[in-house]
Amino acid sequence: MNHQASRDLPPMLDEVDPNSQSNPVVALPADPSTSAKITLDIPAEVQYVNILGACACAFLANLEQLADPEITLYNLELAIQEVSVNIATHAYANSRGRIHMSAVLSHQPLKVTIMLQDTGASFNPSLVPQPQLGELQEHGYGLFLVTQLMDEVEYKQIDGGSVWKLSKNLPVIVNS
Amino acid sequence: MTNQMNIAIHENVVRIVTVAPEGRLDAFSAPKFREKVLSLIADGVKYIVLDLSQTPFMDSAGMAALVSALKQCRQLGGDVRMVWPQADPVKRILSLTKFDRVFEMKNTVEEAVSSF
Repeated sequence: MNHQASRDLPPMLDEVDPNSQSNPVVALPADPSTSAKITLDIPAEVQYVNILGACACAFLANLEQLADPEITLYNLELAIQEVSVNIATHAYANSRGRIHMSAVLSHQPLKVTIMLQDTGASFNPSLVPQPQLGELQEHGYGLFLVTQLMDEVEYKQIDGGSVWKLSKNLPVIVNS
Repeated sequence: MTNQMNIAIHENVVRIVTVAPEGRLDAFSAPKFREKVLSLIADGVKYIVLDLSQTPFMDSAGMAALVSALKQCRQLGGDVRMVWPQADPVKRILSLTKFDRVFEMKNTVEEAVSSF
């Protein structure tokens, strides 16, 4: 059995020096005063992954300017759920480990960026076939949903693991 | 002389079972859902109404379990109807993935049952 659970997670991409050329960089919003951030670290097991989506949605739930919150938050929760289940069942298929999530809310424009990091096995998302919509197909909807529901989806292999970056520009109420 | 008439009466009862997941249908709960459907099919059920009206959240693992139920029923010569979820976001996902074309969708359990 691979005891990867005992390994420490490398620093989150948004915690590394954004000017470093040696790291794949995800820069924080330019003005930290206009952003808020939460982090969460959970066991990478299917029974726990719902915590991540629920926390991310609670993080945004009190945004008064958020338009269509029911749909927006559901879609965010579903995208996080799909990636987290993928990590728990594929990245850690032969091992146990953890999922580290950060969620950053930035303004102007209102946007949420989710980072999900693991130390499990990597994979090539481009090899995942698109589902044949409208056909009697049982599997293959997870990654499709993530890419449909989020504005940006990035997957990167980093030293000792992988990181997913999901970004969504949040719809805002327009006052007439 | 008697004028006897024999009347043969045959009653055909189609067994239709409604399965209504109340709560999240996701990677954690889907195995239990599959197990339940499998036990029904093993018990001879081949017409199932999947009532999603009380399902507030569903991920791709839950969706896979629904397709599996449909496949198994059809393999046995049966079929499945699906009742629309009440939750708008779940409805939108069913439309986005074109599940509303794969499944015959109904608005109520009664409508679904009478459509077989």
